[in-house]
Amino acid sequence: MVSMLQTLSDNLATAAERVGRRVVAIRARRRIPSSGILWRDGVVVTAQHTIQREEDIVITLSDGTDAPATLVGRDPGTDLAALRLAPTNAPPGPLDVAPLEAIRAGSLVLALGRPGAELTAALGLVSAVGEPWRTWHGGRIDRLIRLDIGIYDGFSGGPLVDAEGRVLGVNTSTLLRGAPTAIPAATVERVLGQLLEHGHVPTGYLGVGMQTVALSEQSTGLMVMSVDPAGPAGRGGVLLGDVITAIDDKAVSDPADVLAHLDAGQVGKPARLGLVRAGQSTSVTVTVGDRPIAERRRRR
Amino acid sequence: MSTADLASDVSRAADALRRVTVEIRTNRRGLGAGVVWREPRAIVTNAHVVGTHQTCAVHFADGRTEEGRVVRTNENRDLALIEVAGAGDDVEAAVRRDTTPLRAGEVVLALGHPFGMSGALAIGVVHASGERWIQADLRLAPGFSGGPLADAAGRVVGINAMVAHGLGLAVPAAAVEEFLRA
Repeated sequence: MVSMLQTLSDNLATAAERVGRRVVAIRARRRIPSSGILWRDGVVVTAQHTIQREEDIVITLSDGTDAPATLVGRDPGTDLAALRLAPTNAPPGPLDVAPLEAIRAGSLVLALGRPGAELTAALGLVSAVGEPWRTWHGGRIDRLIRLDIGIYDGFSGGPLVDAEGRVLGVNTSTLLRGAPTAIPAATVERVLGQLLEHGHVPTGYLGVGMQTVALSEQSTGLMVMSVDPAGPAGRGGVLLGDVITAIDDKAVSDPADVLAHLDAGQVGKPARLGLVRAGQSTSVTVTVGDRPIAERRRRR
Repeated sequence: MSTADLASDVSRAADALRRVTVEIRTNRRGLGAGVVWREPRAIVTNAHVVGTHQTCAVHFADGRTEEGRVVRTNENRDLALIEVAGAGDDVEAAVRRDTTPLRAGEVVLALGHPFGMSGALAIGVVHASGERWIQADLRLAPGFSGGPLADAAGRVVGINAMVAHGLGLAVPAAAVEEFLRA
């Protein structure tokens, strides 16, 4: 009789083997290669912090063949990067992705990697599943997935897989101060779409530096401490010393309130800034811009 | 099937492994594990468990303690062969897995005597399997050295030898066979 332990073992090894065919080694840093996932035919997703050079990137596929790859783009906010390969003769077929609801605390999971020729596996648990959250680099992630699992070479950029062989997300060790976490597949799909379309994740940008100031005992606003004259706010007539009190009639009292309002969807749209200028309430309407590359680099 | 079945499978596999695992002492402090590899008398452990000692005390799972003679060591493979004169024919030898390759993600069990605790179990999965080492994602401690690494069916696949970067490293059974033939 085959024991349940053997059945579990077979299921885990089969899940590793099945998804492992899509796990690749990426040579874009010194010494040990990092892991990536062939998410679609010709498109590899990985953890962006493992990509340390943007040229001469070589990817080793599961069958051992090497292929040159180009960086499509990276998003430090969610720690994701996309690379492009020449499409293969044997497209990998659609990725078997688990829905967000299937990610539950206590689930047995495998972290797969390929820090070289061989596939590697580690076993652990989903230790907690939280709400959607924003990383300290400003990226929006659909669920906080905290893992109880060992971090070994090739952990970041590899897939998190359940016992049925479904991909739950992409692993990374840098978003939670070194603790293992996974970026859910839904977030990967969204960010990948933006990277393939724009080469980066558009982020709303006003071009002002702000500091919280008290306007009265009850209310606070954001004083404009610097203005990029060529930026959206500068062109829209925002001046140094203005105090921003609202965006689109929503009160703001912390720079984080402004960031929360400036998601990708706002780029190119008008935003009405409620101001206090020289003691008088007024407003200006600006067109939300896309954060320039230099600014994004600075925040990486 | 339930998780209770899974737990009883694990304890059954651990019991089977305990019967073929011995404790090896070279002096009052030194403690390692060993595997009854074949017949009642040939015991395999790590070279670093016996060090430079010619003899050691071998404590069997049934409670007997016999004197073991270190027949051969290979520092490079960290293996040692110990023969026990007095062990009876009722001592079981380990069941070894055939040549079916280990797959990443397969469940593996390790048995040892960490910090003097006899017959402790560790469970994890195969991280990667090479010719020189089996890398296992499980938590080992001093005292697991020389003990068995086994698959989900309780068949021995290697001898635990060390911990590196948090991974357990075991000498594959094929390398043990080669050492015994040499």
